[in-house]
Amino acid sequence: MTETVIEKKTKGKTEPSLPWNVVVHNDPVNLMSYVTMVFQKIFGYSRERAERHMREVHYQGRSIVWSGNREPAEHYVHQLHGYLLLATLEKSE
Amino acid sequence: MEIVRLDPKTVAIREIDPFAARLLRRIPVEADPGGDRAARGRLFSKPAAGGQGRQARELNEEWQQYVEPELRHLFQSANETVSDDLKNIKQTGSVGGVELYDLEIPIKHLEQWLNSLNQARLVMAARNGFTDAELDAEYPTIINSTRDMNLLQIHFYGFMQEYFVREMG
Repeated sequence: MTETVIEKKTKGKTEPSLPWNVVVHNDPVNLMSYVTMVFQKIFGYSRERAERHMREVHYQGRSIVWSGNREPAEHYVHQLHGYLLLATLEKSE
Repeated sequence: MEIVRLDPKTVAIREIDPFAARLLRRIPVEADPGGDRAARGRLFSKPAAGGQGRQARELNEEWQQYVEPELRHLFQSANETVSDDLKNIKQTGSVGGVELYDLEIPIKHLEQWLNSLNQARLVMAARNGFTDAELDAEYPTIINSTRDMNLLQIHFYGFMQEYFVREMG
């Protein structure tokens, strides 16, 4: 019975909202070294992680470089556009 | 031409011949998309891919209204820094009748140089509609058209970017 009450109270309140993905798309002009540097600068990623995302972008056409709440995700896309990378915001499915 | 670290605060481009000097001076010019729709679209890309659906449309509209002016200012500021630095190109000698120049760039300006070089490369690529194959191929050694010239410039500016990225790393 207690369990039922808890379930009723929490239902709809703690249901997590879907995170937003920051996606970087392939671009034949931007240099691989430049893209790696931008990922390190913006997200503070290690060189290895930044290169992993860069390779995903280059070989698979896109990479989800960050996921989380909408506001910081928009901020990251803004920064990526400042570095002239092709970046979009997508809601997780 | 060579790019060297002069001291902890400065990089220098040395022995720039007149052709390379001309290419350098054209960086801020090439970075201007003018009225070219494809070039403008590439510099100011949309945050919601496809723009399908109400939410995506709203985000793209808000972006155009609030973020694009900030980006425009950022890009303009980078181009102005590069233009100012380019005023310091100095003739340092000549070899076989060919004038040679040097240019010193403060390390603290390299981020703006990278940005301006990137703008120029992206604008020229979009304006000419270069294919991936053209961009991946060797740069043209015989220039017969503006298109050939722009492809050479994209490679030349890319070489400079590679060096600056290494310096910043």
